[in-house]
Amino acid sequence: MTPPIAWDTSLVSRLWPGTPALAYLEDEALAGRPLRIPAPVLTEISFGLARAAQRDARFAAQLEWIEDLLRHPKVEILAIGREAGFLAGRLRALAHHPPDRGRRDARTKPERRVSWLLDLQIAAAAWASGCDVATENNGDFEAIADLLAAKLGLEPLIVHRSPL
Amino acid sequence: MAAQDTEERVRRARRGPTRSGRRTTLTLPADVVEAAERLADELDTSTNDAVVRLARLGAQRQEAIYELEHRVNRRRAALRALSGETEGSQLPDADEARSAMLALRREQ
Repeated sequence: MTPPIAWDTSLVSRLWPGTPALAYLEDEALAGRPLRIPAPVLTEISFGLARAAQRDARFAAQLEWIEDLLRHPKVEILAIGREAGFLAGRLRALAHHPPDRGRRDARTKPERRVSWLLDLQIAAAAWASGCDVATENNGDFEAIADLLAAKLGLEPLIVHRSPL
Repeated sequence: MAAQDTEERVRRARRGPTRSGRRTTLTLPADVVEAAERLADELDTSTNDAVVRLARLGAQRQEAIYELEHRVNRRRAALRALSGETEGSQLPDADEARSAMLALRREQ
């Protein structure tokens, strides 16, 4: 059986009325394959939209739209449960920062740290739920998959490129 | 067999506290009888009293479940109520929305 695939924030952020991402999600749901989203993805997208909504009401509307969409019963949210919680902590202890690929990064250091912790939690929630992960951020997630397999000796997390 | 009979006689001879309330006749499943008799032996009380104690524990636990469900539903409803004031509002375009959702990412 092909393992189910959880969507990272980079894919969920493509959901918008009329986009190919939404059509893909609908097709998958009709085929009986629910969209699986690790809970930290919800934290990430709702943070970004709620912050933007403080200066522009359109983002509040977008936040409501996506909250409605992701509350649909065909969307399965992967919780940070006991094992995922433990795993994310172990991963963070092994790697305090994301891999440095020498590109310019406009984010502040605290933002980078929060983002990395969320990536670790996303990967841990997917792994502990028996899922692979699909992302446009392959570099960071492959680094996490390496930590899982090479440093912790656990079953690898399979990282897929975006199906969109 | 004789030992069992003796145990049963000892249990019957024990008296539990007198309670007011509705009298009833119940058919107890074997596992409940077993649990009640064990508790009766531990507390040196009657099997009937042990059944009442077990029922009371179960009732308290069930009440706690109802309270928790009520609290969860209340909190979730309050969270959902944060939405609902933007009906009919314009959305940002897809790129703006994506950029906001990836605010913490470097690849946006």
